[in-house]
Amino acid sequence: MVDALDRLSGWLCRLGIWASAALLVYMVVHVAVEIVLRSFFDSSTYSLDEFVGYAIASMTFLSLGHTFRERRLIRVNLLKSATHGRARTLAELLCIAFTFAMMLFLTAYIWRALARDWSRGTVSPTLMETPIWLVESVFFCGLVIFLLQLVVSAIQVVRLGVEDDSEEPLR
Amino acid sequence: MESLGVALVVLLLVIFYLGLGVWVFAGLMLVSVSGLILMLDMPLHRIGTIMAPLIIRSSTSWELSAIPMFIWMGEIMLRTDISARLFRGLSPITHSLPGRLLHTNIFGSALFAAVSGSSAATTATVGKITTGELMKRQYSKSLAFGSLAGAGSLGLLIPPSIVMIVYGVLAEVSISRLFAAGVIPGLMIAGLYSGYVAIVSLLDPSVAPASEDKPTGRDLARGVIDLIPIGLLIFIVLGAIYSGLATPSEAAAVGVISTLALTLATRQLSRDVFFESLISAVQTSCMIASILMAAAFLSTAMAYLHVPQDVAAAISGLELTPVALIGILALFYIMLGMFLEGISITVMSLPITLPLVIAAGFDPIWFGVFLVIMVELAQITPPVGFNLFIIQALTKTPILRVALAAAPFFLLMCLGAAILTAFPEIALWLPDALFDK
Repeated sequence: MVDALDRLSGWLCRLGIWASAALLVYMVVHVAVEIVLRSFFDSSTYSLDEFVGYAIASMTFLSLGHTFRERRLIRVNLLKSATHGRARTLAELLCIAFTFAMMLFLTAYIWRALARDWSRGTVSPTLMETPIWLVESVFFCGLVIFLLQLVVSAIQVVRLGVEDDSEEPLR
Repeated sequence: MESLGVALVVLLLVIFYLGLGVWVFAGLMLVSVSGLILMLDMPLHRIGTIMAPLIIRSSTSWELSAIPMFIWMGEIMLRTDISARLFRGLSPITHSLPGRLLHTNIFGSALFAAVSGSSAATTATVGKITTGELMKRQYSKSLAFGSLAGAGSLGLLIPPSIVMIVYGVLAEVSISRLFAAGVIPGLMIAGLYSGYVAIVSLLDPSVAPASEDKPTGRDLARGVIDLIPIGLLIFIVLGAIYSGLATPSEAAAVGVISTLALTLATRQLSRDVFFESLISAVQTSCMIASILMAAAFLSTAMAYLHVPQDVAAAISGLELTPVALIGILALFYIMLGMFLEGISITVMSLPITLPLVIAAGFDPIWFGVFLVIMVELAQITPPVGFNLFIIQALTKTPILRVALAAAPFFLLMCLGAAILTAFPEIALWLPDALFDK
C-alpha cells in the first residue's frame, strides 16, 4: 500500500516536472517569437505578459512536488544537523506537518477561487479572455501533487528515518 | 500591543518556523498566518480569502520568467567545456600578475557573471576546473578557495542578476538601470580581490608557486580564442538589453537560445545536457519562485500588522544619520545572511528596509546594489552560505575551513560596500549615463 502510494506520487511528481519543463521551453519560444514579431514585423503576439505569467506560475506549482521529493527546496538545516535519532525524526515530522497544514489551507482557498470562477465563467480582463478557472486548475493540481508527496515523505520518515538534503544547489 | 512588540513576535515566529527547519517558502507563509491570528485575531477564513488571490497574482508576474531562463542558461553552460575554456583562456593572461593563476578564479567569475544570473552557477562553473588545476600546481588552498567563494558571488552583482530582477520587481524600479548600476561596483570588488591576491603573493611568493613556462604570443592568442564564446554570449545578452531589442526579462530568452546555439555549434549539445539542464533549472526556479510568492503574502501580512511603519517609526525616533542607518542595516543583513540565503533575505527584509532607506534619502537603485552586496556576503557566511556549500562539495574540504579561507574576501566585500556608501556615484553613474535621469 505504502509502496503503491510512493510509486503513484513519484509518477505524478515526474508528470508535474516534465509539464513544467515543457512550460519553460514554451516561455523561451513565446518570448523569442515576441521579439522577432516586434523587431522585424512591427507586430506582437498580444499575449506575452498574460500567457508567460500563467506559465511561470503553473511551472512553480507543478514542479513543487518533484522539487520537494528531490530535496531541492531550501530550509535552515541547523536543527536537523544538530539532532539525531528520534529527536531528528520528530523534528522532521513536525516540519512536514506544518508544511502540509499550510499548503492544505492554501489549496482549499485556491479550490474555492477555482469553483467560484468556474461557476461564474470568469475570464481574464485581456484580449485573450482566458478562462481563469483553467489556470487555477493547473495550480490546484500542482498543489495536490505536492500534498500527496508530503504524505509520502512523512511515511518514509517514519519507516526509514530522515534523508539528508542536497546541500548543493546545482548538480 | 507595543508597536515594536509586534515586530518582535514576528521575528520570534521567523526564528521558530525557519529554525525548526520548515522549508523557507512554507515557513514564511506560516509566519504570516500565525502573526495575523496571534496579533490581529484575524479569522482563518478572512486570511484565506486575502491569501489565495494574492498568491495567484504574485506568482503570475511575467517578469519572473527571466529567473528560470537565466538559470537554464547557466545550467547548460555548467555542462559544457566553458569552464575549461575560461581557464585555458585566462591562464596565459594572468601569468605575469603576482598571484598568477589565482586570478583565474576572479577574472573567470567576473566574466561568467556577465552571462549568468546566479552566484551558485558562477561558483560551480568556474570552480569546476580552477580548484583542481590550482591544487595540482600547489597554490595556496586558502587563497584558491577564498577567492573562488568571494568572486563566485559576483554572479549576483554583475548583470544579468536574479537577485536584481527580484529586487526590481518588488521595489518597482527599472531592472535595466539596476543591471547597469551593478557593473562598476562588481568590477570594483573584483579589483579589490585581485589587488589582495597580488599583495599577499608579493609578501609570500609560496602561495602562488613559480610557474613552468612563460606563455608565448601564440599561447596568448590561443587564450583569446578560448574566451571568444563567453565574450560572444556577453555581447549578445547585454547587447540585446542595451540596444533596446529586448527587455531584461526577454534577454534571458535570447541568452538561452544563444547558449543552445553555441553548444550545438561546438557539438556539446546532447540529449542529456538539454534535459538535465532543463529539469535542474525548473527545480531551482521552483525553489526561488515559491519563496517569492510566500514573500508576497508575508509582505501583505506585515502591512496588516503595521510592522514596516512601526519599525520605521522606532528607527526614525533614534534620529540616526543616513550613514549610521546603512551601517545598522548592513549589520542586520550580515546577521540574517548567516542563516538565510539571498532571495529569502531580500524578500523578507524589503517591506521594512526599503521605505526606511528611501525616507533617509537614498536612491532605490543604489540601495538595490547595496542589498545585492549584502546578499553576496550571505553566500559566504557560515553556517548557511551557498558558495561555501558548493566549494565544500567541489573540494571535499570541511565547510569551516572554506569559510575561514573566504573570511578575507568577506572583509574586502564589506570594504566594497563601505566605498559604495561613501561614493554612491560608483553605482549611479553608469545608469545615469546610459539612460535619461
